[in-house]
Amino acid sequence: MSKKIILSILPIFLSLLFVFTVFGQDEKQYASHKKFYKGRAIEFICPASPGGSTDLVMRLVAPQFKELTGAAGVRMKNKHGSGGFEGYNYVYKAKPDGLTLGNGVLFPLTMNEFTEMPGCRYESKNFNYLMGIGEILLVAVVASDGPYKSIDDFKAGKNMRIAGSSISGPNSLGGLSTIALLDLDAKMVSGLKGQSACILSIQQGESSAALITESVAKPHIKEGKLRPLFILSNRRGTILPDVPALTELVTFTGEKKDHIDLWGGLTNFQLVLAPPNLSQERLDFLRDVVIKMVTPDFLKKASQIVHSEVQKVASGQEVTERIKAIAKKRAKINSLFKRLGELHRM
Amino acid sequence: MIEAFIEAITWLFRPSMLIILVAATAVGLFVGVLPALGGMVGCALLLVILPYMSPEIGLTILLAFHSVTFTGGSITAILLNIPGTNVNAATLIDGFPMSQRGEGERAIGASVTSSSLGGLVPVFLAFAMIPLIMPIVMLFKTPEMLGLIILGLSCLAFLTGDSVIKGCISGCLGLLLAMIGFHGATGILRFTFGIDFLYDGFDLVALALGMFGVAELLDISIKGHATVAPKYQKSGGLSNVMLGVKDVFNHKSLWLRSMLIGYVAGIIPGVGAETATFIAYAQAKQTSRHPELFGTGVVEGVIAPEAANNAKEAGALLTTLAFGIPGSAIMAILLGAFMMVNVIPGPRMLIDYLPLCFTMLLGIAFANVIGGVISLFAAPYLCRAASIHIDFLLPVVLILAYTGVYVLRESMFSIASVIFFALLGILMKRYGYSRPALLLGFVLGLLFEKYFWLSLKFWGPLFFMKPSFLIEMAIVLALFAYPYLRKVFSRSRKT
Repeated sequence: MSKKIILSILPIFLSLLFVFTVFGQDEKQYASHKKFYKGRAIEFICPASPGGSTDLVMRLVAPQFKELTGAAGVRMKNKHGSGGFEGYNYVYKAKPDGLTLGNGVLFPLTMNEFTEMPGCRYESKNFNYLMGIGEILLVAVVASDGPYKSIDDFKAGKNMRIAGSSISGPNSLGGLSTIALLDLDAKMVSGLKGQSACILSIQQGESSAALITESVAKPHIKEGKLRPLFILSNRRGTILPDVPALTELVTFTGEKKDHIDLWGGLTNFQLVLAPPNLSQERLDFLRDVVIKMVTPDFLKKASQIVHSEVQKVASGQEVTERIKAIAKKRAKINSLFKRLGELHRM
Repeated sequence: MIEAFIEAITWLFRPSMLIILVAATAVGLFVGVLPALGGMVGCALLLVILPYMSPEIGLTILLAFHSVTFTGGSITAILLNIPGTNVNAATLIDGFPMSQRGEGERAIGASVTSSSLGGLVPVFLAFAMIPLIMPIVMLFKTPEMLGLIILGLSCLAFLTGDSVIKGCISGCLGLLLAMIGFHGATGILRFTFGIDFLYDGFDLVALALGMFGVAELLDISIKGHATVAPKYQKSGGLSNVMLGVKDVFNHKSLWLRSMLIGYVAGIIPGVGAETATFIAYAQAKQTSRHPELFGTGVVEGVIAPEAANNAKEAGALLTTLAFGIPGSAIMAILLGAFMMVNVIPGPRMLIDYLPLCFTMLLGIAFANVIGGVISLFAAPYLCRAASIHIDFLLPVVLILAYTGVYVLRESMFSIASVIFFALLGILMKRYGYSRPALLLGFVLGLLFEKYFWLSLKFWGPLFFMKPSFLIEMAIVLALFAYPYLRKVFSRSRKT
């Protein structure tokens, strides 16, 4: 009888022992992380100026770290100097203890590094990523009352000017890619201040087109001021789902196919990141914290910020793999845009 | 439309809303007075509380706060020669000499009245201006913008002081200093010498603080008295302040011209806040019967830039609301604020959110009135600060100045640049080089390069043959020729 009893309760006992060993350790470590954060403040760095969507993401995410980590507080700082490098460099060089975190955008984070912009002192693949929110693609827009009603008109255009802002920004690099992919008779004019200035230059008739993020273009498209031609990618965007991807309108092969596929990964993807060399336990803890952050209310607010419905967020692991995949093409990206700049920039 | 207006008034004039508005106005004035802080930093801080409020309250508070910062900034410019915000730089040219002469209360009365009316009147012009905004914005393409900047740069000629050559050297030095940093169109770093801090170039706030405020106060410290000479330290009280108020009404046409200059400059995105104030100052000097007195402390030199600076922001707000295109750097922050509360600026805004638009505009009008009244009553007390001996005033001002610039970029280089510009300012003052000319060159240098570059790229080398550009150059010539033409006409009328 007693043998039967022992044999029957043994699995239960062993399974309970297993559970407590595995999860009990997690709980212990969890508690130790929380103990670490107790009485300490987290510094959250945003590499953009106040008011923009990157800043708004910081204001959404950063305060939640306080509650979920047990930290004494979260100091939010905008370090947008040097075109955002100040913020990225600061997080990159910060002590890897989990007390310095930051956010950023995938495109400038990677492309500024790959195009070797002065001031970049980090390698994007070395950051630790906690979360990715809200992908925004580039849409090619022209004036709604202009001569380009379709992509065929656009391809047939002569002596066009594509407007862009900063030389290594998505608008300018997207413009260069568009000129190359569609063999346009066009030149890239960089130097306008922001996407709004690019839109204004189209409406004024100074430039023929621009590559603008979907979120910025959408209100102007809705007002009928701009006409969207295509999404510069191999897939449609979520903010303007009715606008076809370029690959739906034009078939690319060989190098051009690789080129357009590149834009499938290079998006304005809002990221939350931590310095390199963070311990795996601390990283796992922070990623766990981030998972807990994602509630229906959080997704609703994130959707408002990125102007598209955010149904889920990308995990830190997913973001890391994506950036590592892009980083493998770094040399290729660098030489591609150098060549395109020499050929097509005014 | 009338129902929307009535709804806005009912909403705005609830006791709780009025109290919040008065508080926001008072804080906005205080932030404006503090050197280096400025409306931009304040607006950025206010963004934190925005999600917790309804759009009507949050946006109205933000706009009310912002609209009075320039009024507050003029007080510091007049009393301490430190522009509280960048756009108050032109005010100190004549405002500070007035204060040194014991006319600080009069100067503040004039600046506050001019500034408050400059923010109030455009609110009522707003709806009349809406049909005109689009044509104006569409007209000003890159060559026209370049023409406007050239018009601004030509104002250097009116800031040269006693020596034209030295004034031009100052202006060119300002242009050169503006070139330091990363050039966005070419991706080249210029004159940074490997210092990351200089990637964005020198900060205008640090330049203005150092060159005007700290340099002036250090100079006074060497002389060993207060910013106001002892013989002028007797306060005239509110009656002196009212003299300044009357001055604005005695110079109605000057105020109106300056307000319109600021308003139109504000409507056009990318002009730069300082451009409008210096153009207004230059036209005030050119149209004055005694242009030689400008720079020595004349009230017209205070009225003109102050009318322009508040009107400029009113114009910029209109472009931001009506088209979703930020008309200035602060409007870019406000645009973010609109997005935070899910209000999308654009042409639909004036249809879908008409009551909200009215609430915001009336909030600005109310804030300008309240801000003006508070400032006028506080002026006699604030002027006493100018009578404090420099040995006590200088450390306090230095701490505020250094703290203010440090907050902007959290870098010791910011403080170093204030010290650098302070030393440069002292040398320039000693050897008769115009500091306002350097400031104007610095402010407009990058804009000039940017629009020149874009004009060449978009229009080719013959961009200057555009009729609209030629008209602007004709206006520049007319501005120079006006005093001579006036003499000729008055002589011919006498004969």
